[in-house]
Amino acid sequence: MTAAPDLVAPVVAFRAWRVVDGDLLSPYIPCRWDGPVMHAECYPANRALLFGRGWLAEPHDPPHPSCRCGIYAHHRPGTQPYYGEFQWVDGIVAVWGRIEAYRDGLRAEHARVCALGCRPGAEAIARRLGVDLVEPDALEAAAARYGAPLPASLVP
Amino acid sequence: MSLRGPSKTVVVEPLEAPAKRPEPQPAPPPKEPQPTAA
Repeated sequence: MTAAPDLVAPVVAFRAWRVVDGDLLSPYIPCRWDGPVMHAECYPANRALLFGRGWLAEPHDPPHPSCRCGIYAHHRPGTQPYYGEFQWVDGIVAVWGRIEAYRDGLRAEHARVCALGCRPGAEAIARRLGVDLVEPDALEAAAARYGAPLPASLVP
Repeated sequence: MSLRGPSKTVVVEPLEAPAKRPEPQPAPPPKEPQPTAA
């Protein structure tokens, strides 16, 4: 018997990507978002990050509570750290599956890009992925079109 | 990679395919020609 889900609708959250050669890349790992949907994998190469600290060595399904794997997103827009010299874009994602929820954000098993913030280069990517384009300062308001954030009762 | 503090596992099983783009509203059907009085 499986446990009942906590929620039956995707959770809306915010994240950012590096923009390289007209593609979306995850900020910290060489993972290219070729389509709007991404499924988390805990690649062995990821475990070299931070000298392996915090990464679980044994095989597991991501996101694991004891690992750092999963698709990262934040409950509010604009909370990503600085990405150095890279061009980057903010956006709205809907996440589902197993989720590790934190006070500021989450790690998810599955994600779909819903919209990208309007920045140089973002329009062509949004068109190719078939997602919406919104003004960067309107991301939070626009998110309501795609669903609801993680309820406060499920945030630790 | 910047999430800190304790975490809580949440299971989300959507009843429908997640996060489809909002469907454009269909155009209203053309009005039927009204019979005109002779």
